[in-house]
Amino acid sequence: MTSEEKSKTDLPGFKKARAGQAGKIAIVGAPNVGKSVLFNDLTGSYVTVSNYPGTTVEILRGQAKIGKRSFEVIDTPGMYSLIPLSEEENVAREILINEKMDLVIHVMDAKNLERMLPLTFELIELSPEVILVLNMMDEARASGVQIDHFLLEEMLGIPVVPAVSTSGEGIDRLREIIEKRFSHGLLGTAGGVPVLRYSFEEELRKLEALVPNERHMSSRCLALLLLKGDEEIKRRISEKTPEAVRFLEGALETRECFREKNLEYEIAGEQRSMARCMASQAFEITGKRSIKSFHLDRFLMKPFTGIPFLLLVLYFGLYKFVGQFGAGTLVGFIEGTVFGKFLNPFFVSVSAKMIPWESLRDLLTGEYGVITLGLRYAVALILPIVTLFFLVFSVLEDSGYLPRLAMLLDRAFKKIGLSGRAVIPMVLGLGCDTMATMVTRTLPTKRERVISTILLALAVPCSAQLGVIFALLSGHPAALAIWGIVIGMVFLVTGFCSARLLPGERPSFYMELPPLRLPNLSNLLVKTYARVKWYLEEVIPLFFLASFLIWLGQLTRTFDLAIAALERPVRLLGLPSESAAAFLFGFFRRDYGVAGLYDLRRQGVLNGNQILIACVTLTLFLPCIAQFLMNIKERGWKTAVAISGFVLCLSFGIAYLLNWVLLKTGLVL
Amino acid sequence: MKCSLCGFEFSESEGRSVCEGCVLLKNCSLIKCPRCHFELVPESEVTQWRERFDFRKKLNAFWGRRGKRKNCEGAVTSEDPGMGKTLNENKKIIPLPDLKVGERAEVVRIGTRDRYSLRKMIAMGVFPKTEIELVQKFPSCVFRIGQSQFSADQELASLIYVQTR
Repeated sequence: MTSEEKSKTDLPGFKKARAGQAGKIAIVGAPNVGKSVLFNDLTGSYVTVSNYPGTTVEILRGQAKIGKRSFEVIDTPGMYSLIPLSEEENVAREILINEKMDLVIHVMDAKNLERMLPLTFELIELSPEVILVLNMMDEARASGVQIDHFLLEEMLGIPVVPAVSTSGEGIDRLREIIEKRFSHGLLGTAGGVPVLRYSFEEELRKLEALVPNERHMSSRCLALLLLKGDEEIKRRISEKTPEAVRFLEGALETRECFREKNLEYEIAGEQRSMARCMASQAFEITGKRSIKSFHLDRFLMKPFTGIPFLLLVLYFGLYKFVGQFGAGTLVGFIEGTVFGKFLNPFFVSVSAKMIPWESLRDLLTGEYGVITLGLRYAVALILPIVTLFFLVFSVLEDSGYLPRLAMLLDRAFKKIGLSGRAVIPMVLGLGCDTMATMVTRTLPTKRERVISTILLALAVPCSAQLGVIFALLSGHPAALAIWGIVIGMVFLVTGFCSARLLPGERPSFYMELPPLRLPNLSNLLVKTYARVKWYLEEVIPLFFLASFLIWLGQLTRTFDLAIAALERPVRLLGLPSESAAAFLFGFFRRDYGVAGLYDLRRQGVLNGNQILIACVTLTLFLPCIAQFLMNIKERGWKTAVAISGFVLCLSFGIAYLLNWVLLKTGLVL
Repeated sequence: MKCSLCGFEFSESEGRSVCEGCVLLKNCSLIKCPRCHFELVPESEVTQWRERFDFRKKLNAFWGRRGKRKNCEGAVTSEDPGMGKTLNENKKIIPLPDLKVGERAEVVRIGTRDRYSLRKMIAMGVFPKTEIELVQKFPSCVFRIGQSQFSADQELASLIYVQTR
């Protein structure tokens, strides 16, 4: 045992460990500091993706076995301070405020000690059970940073662990400290932790006396949050002790109006200068930043070189890898060989032997059977494409390219009423629109969230669709080009118009540009796995449901009625009436519909023009049921139904127009 | 607009930011010069409209700026030595996007009281006395604080007032 650990256990205020109770550990920190990697290090492979009740931002909860105890470890979305800037940050805060944490691990980028220490102060005020992990020490060392973590430990009064989460350095020590904490008892409140003093200490003390301790938050922490203008805490307190709020308003008035200042900014400034003071003692920088990554960074960020690079990424990553390799080679193999030659004939023969009722046999292995259609589409067509896309997306995400892309495209996105931040849901939308709709929560204003939901529902095709469309149109390069132009135009014009029509403020954009990193393979695989798992859990039941409903419809003849009703509008678009079925499927999932076209194409029913029009319609068509449900969940009933109605009208309108133009110009593809 | 007393040129929002904390803020039409705190009467709307559509002046201003770019550094402060006492000869306070690419400066103040903009500043760690380096201006501003890099759009970046050394 080293001396500083000994001093920890000698500190007064230890309580007896609460035996038999599984501890809760939260991992907190700014975005891009390696929280998730640390989470994987601590929990191993036992990762579960869960949704936080109410808001459903993805947070990871896992089990970790440290020493002889098991813990629940929670990975929270990145946050800069306890006062949230977006809904996503709000979720991290809610977890900290509403759930009793036995331990909070604050992960920070060691290079940016000064900037990230204020959050440590806030966390200590919230609960003194904090361990500070100085992550990415390898990068810090490479740029000549030296940190005296013993001194830092002494100043902060909490354990400080230097670590490199990607290589596992420091993780053992972290485990050791956690184990010791829980076996020797938890460190009680105000153990050796220094209480920070502010220039407005007087007001803070008075407010502290007025505010009661709430659940597991100290009154000092509550008072500090109140002074910072935290609306939610204020609402909560005003119900219990209105005199505290009155005092607060008076204090804010004198502070803010007469001294020309915003108290929140002042407090943050003071915390920052305390951080600066600590950093000046414990943090030393000797080297220079590396020239190689510096040049690469410039290369990616300059518009002249960055935009061609973006096109290259799209061409190789999306078209070549996902489109041609995934949707072409892999799908061909799994669909044609595995399912076509082995699985389907096997299931058909087995069901023919085992099941005497014809209708039940149809349900399982008929033309639209659960196994022959539902499972085949999900596993053979969609799974390979989506997996490859998520792999590419994880590479882009982990290398730090996405924020640079956001910066490059911010100006262009402002024209369609969005900020550069919306680039991330849009790119993710090329993978799965449902997931992307969920990610729009990272956007700061409601207006941006609505615009991006409309665009995702309308003009951003998901990877499953893209894959099948590339495969469908690969024989007709001109048709592919027209498809691209039409979808692009719809995207821009819709965005431009909704930016003019929807009320609200202009978006403003800021984002951290993390250093470029080489992605860690195991982390990539874990991420892709988690996303694909989420996707399959969401999608396979829907595919089965669709198969089941179609079977039910066929049995009761309503399916034929629906197809007959759809035949008229479909023929209006110049399509054969057989494709009405594809459109009906398209309602369940758009890619399901496109996959139906794929089958029609192979039967030789459609010509070039018809394929193009069908593809355009289905790309713009109603989002799949999952996305529709997600829209309701995220935007509410009214907005979701309005968006769907708008999308439905527009998709048929545009397809009709395109058909008319093609007929008038006499273009044959 | 231009101050009729000291000749300092500034934008209206800049002038408004000086008034922060004044009790009369909401119903007062005067604008303070951020440099000498002289209270100006703002131009009437008609004049503003005329100026907005005065394309010849805009064109001249555009060509003039392009032509004189090299020798206009520090022009504002060196013109009148009387005001230079507080600002020092080589130091000037300008919005961040007006720095040259690669130049370092110190943050002096944030020209807004808007809570959400200030929260963004807190998130990025933009506080007075912080050293800041402008890395790129187009298409968005990229700047470096300590060991980290941030990107912000023109509107947000121009709220950061910096002093060159």
